[in-house]
This record gives sequence, structure tokens and C-alpha cells, in this order.
Amino acid sequence: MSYDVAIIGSGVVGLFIAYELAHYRVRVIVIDKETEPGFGVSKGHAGVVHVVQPPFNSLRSKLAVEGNRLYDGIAKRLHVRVKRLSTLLVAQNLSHLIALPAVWLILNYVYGKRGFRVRILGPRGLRKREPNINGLGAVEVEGYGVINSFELVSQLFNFCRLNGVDFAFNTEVRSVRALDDEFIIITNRGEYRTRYVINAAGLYSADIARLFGDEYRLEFGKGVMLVFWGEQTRNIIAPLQLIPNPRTKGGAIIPTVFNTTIWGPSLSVSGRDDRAVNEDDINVLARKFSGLLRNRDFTPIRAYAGIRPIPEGDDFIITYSRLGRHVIHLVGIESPGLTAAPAIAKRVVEMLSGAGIELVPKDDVKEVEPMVMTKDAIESSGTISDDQGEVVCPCMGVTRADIREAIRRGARTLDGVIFRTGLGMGVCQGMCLGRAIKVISEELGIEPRELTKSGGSSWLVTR
Amino acid sequence: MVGYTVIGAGLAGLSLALELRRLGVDIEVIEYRDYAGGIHALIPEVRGVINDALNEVNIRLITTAIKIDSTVYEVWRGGYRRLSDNALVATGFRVMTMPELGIYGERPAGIYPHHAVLDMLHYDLLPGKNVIIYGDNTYAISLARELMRRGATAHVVSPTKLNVRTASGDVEVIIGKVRYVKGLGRVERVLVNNEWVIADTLVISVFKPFNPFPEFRAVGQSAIEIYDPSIVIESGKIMARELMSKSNEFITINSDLPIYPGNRVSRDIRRVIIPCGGCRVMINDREYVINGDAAVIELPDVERVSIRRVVS
Repeated sequence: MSYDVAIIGSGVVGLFIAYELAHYRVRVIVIDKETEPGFGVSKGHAGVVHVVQPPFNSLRSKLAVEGNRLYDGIAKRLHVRVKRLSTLLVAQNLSHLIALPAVWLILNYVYGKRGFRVRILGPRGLRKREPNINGLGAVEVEGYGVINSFELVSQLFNFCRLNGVDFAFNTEVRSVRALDDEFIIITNRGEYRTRYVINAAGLYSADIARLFGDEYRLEFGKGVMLVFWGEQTRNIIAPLQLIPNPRTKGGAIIPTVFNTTIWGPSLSVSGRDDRAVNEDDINVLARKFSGLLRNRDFTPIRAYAGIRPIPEGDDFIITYSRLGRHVIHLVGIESPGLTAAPAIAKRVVEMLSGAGIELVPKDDVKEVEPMVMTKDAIESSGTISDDQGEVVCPCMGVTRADIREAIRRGARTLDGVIFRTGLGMGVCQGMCLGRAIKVISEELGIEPRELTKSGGSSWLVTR
Repeated sequence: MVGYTVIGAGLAGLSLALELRRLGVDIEVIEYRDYAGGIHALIPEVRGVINDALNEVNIRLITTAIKIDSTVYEVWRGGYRRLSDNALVATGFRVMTMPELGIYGERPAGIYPHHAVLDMLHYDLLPGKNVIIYGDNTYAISLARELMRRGATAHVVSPTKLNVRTASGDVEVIIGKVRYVKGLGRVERVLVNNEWVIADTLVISVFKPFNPFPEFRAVGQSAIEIYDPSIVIESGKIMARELMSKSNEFITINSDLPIYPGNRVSRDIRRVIIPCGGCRVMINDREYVINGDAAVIELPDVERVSIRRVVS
């Protein structure tokens, strides 16, 4: 099969590029070694739409600002839940309090210039804005957001499928052959011919670049997040740090769109496949955040780790290959990659144009439907079908019909269903999983033994 | 006309329903699974009570209560309705979470809450071939026994010494704490104390009372941490009588321990459960010793009762 563009990697960055290209008459394939889209870097972050990033003159800061502005429109078009909120940097002691005006001055200069409002909250203002936060005052930065990033990945994927983008999952790129006017991408599941290649392979972006003779060095950073049941704060809350360390994202108390709260991420050096949560990580988070809260009586329901690819030079690398302009590498797209992704995609499409690809707009772009869960139907007092009334996961209100809808939208694994429905994500810890495994298998038309958590060796049940 | 809706057809819900039924009240029991019995489905000694209830009580299977925003609905195949004050919660224990238990490491496939495994067994599936069950109660033991009966290897790791009531019999019990899980796709190893144990499955059977609908009154293990089936049954009976009490006189309880069904009970019932294993308590001026993990106590017929734990 021959394509105009092959995108390696179906994380949020690869998907956004495919989404942009789906508006043009080009033949696009997205190749990923995982079983479903978004199973790499994109499943291990906190779902925050950021604003300006230090260092302020970096590419990633510029793209984050651009991406941030694009998100409301995208969320509306793709029917993805996004909640806009502020970040409050909280002064916890007197020296912090004294420093607030100076912090405000700097942030207002840097953030305000880019359209993000910054203001100072005194003790009473803070109390009013965040009744559950202990602090003497705060600097508030507007313009942040939290997003259902699982829904985003799923909707981008479905938009692309609907508009003719091909996907090859469980497909690992082994080598590449450059011909005169095209490349042959050799995978474990056959060969793909393509004129242009986009390397959006996340943790594996340096390996893919090497196949084209380009050398990049990546380090890997692990971020651990601790999830609590219930909403602790209204906005993103972080302790004010007077000596910012650009290598630590610092983490925050983050109210998610799922009525849960995330503490994190922490940051530690790790290996590429090391998603283990260690006691130290949790202790770091507890030390950092528990003092900020008045009421701490929340149940921690889960801890998870994400891995970020940290490039040399500590900035996004988005560049043509030395081999030529038909190959574009995206290396080290770490935080704020989710925020920047829509802007990265636009930039990559411009670079493709610059490399000579002809982009003729389609006149029949199809739109994706919102994912309507049974909960939504009941809330709007609609009638429900038999399968909509068969609740599989009571804790999160997920029904057989919801599972079927998740499968229709591309779920092939338990995690795929979990990400699209929230099944098992609540305080009940997946008490419903036994039944869920049976129902998901039935709806996929496979034996329960064949179902996996996330592909590969992650089998779930046996006989 | 339905008088009460009991959410959950486990031992507590069925006992409550049975008692309400005997007191002449209309009730329905709803159960999200396609079978009754809940966590007691594998416990032979209560089979009789469950069977009695199945014969006498109207149980609607595959029917669930769910909360959307702050409204609770009863949902069944093809329909739903709003639940109001006449709902009673009997949804039982939840399992404790990995962060609560301090279990670190990776999160591969093969880590299951106790309840999920009961459902698997019901569907003739096994969670794995080499199973560690983490729990210090009779449910953990009976689950291990059932898994072994079906050809799997099963060990119980108990964070505390099992009490006498929990006879482990043929099941091997390791006293220790599960600290860490390793495995990329599937569970491969589990760290118990300081020793790695090979296993493909970790089942969490450490429980905590949990009422998902705190706006409604709860019975059994969704309200109190008890492991003695007879006390679970008793909690249902007490709640039924409290609900039906015609007396306008109450006993107000001042207690430093949690008391079931609450700190204000009907004077004509006067029965409470004190979940405090191995405690000595002073009830007004009488001392009681609680053997097992809880005791059912008849209160003196006075307006005010004080319950104090005796610390010796």
C-alpha cells in the first residue's frame, strides 16, 4: 500500500498531525506498535492544558501558548470535555508573602504579555476562591485547563478514521529503505510505501530517527501521580517556589474532569519502560501537597506513573531529517506536549508544505459524533434501551451499551474500554471487573481468555 | 406499591428484606449482578439464609442504583427511576485501594479486587493459575479454597495474624505485608515482607465499609466493619425493626465508639451493634467484653446511654 504521509506514533501528537492532514486530499497512515492509540506517553500525564512554560523564549513555551488558544475550539468540535481554570501559586510562609508582589511583577510581564491574566490574592481572597487551601496569599494565573485526554485521543482517532486516515496498530517499525522518491517502512507486519514520514514516536523517537541516520539523545523522566476520589480544590494549586528549577515541573493539586483530584507529577530519572510507583514518589507528593489542604480526608484511589522523553537541550526538537525534507522528526515532545500538540500539528503541516507536499483541502470533511453515555441519556430524562439499562460497573454507572459504544469507537482492550467509559476508575477499584471482562469479550465477539488489559502479554483471565 | 428498595442482595440486604417482609412491608431488593449472595456467595454456613430469602423476597437481578451528579437512580434493562428516601444501602464492603494499603510498583494485568474474582468464578473463569490473596479474613480463606478446588494454586497473605474464628484449614497462610508488584504485561512477582513470591495474580481482600449513597441508611458491611455473618444478618434485622418502630421514644447514645445503627435508637428496639473486636466497654455502669469482631448488645431501657471503651 502506498501513502503520501506515514506518521509513526499514535499518541496525541501523531493524532493531531493526522487530524490536520485529514482535512486535505492526502493518503495518510498512522503506524503504532501499541494495540490502541494513545497507549504511550499520552496515557501517563495529568491532562492539564498549560500556559507559558519556562524558559519563556523556548519553542515549547511558544507552542504551548498557541496550543492553549486552540483547545476550546477543538474541544467543542470534537465534543471533548475541557474545564478552564486558574493556577494558584500559594504563599505558605511570610517570606513567600513578602515576595508575592515581585512574583506578580515578573509573571505579569511574561504571562500578561501573552494574554494570560495574573493577579494577587490576599488571605481573604484566597480563602474565598479556595476554601480548602491553607495559605497566606497567592498569585493567580488564568488560562489553564484540564481535559479528558482519553476522550481527546479517542475522538481524534475517530475523526481521522472517519476521514480516511488508515491506522496500523501492533505494528513495530523495524527498518526503513529510502528509494528515489519514496520510503519503504518495514514493520513486523509488512511494508508501507510513503513519500513523507513524520516521526512522532514519543519515547522511541530517537530510535526511529536513527533509522534515518539522525542521532538524538533522549533521557527519560518519570512522573508519578496520586489520584484521590473527589474534588479537593476548584483550581490548580501549587506551592509558590521562589527558586524555580526548570527541570522539575513541580507538580500541583489538580482537579480533573472526572471529579477526582491528582497530586503530581513528581519527577525522577527513570528508564524508558519503568512505570513503577515507588514509596519515595508518593512521600514526595505527600510532603509537598498535604500541608496545602485544610481538609485532607480524601481516599487515595490510585497511583500511576508516566514517562516523558527528555531531549538534549531541554526543548522540543521539531526538524527535518538530515536525509532531506521528506522526513520530519519530533523528538522529546514532553510536557507541555498535550497543550502544544494542536500547534505542533499545524507547524508540521507547514513544514510538509515547505517540503513540497501538495495540500488540496477536502470539501467533504466529516465530523465526529459526541460519545453519549447512558448516564447522559438518563440525566436528560431520555428513554433507555435494554442494554443501556444493564449496568456493568455501578460505581461509575457504565452500562453494556456504553461498552459497546467504546468498542465501536475503537476500544480493543480492557484499558481501551476503561479510558473511554471510566469503568473501574472510581473508588470501587474495579470491583466490577469480573463482569466487565465477560461483557467486553461478548461485545468484542472473543473469548474472555483472549481479552487483554493493554495488548501483548497482559492477559486477564484463564480457565 | 413498593415500600422499600434495598440496594444489594448480599447477606445484609437479604436479611433486611426478609425481616421487613416478615413485618409485613413491601420491599424489592435490587442486585447489579446476575446472582445473589454477594461476598457470601462462597460461604456455606449462610447458604440457608440466602436460600430462604431467595424464596420469600422479590429480588430484581441486573438492576442497579447509580448516582448521576447528586441524584440516585434505580436502573434496569429498559428503564430507570429516581430513588427517594425509601432506599436502603446494602452494597457491602469495598476493597482498600493500593495507595491505602501501601502497595507500590507496577500496575500490570492480574491485580483484582476480591469481588471481581467472585464474578469470574461465577462465570467459570479463573483470575490466574498462581494466585496470592491479600486479606486477613474468612472471605480470603474461602476464596483461596475455591480457587484451589478449581485447580489453581492459591496462597493467602494476611497482614495480621488471623483470629481463631477464621480457620484456615488446608489453606496456606503467610503472615506479612504485600509491598510491591512487578510485571510489565501481567503480574510476575509480588514482594511479601522482604521476599519475592512468584505469582501471576494478586487479589485484594482487605475490606472497608463503604456507602456509595450516604444520603440513605445502610446495613451490614456498607456501614460497619464486621466479618461475622451472624452479625451481618443481625444488622439487617435491627435496621428493619428500627424502620418499622412505631415508638416515638428514643434512646440517645453518647459513645466514643461507632455504634450501629446510630446514636439515636428506638426505645422499643434497644438493640445496637458495637464493632470493636476484643474490646471491653462500659455501657452506663455495666461492663461488657466483646469477643469476635463485634457484639449485639441490648441497651438498658433508659433515655440516655453512655458507651465508653475501657482501656486497661
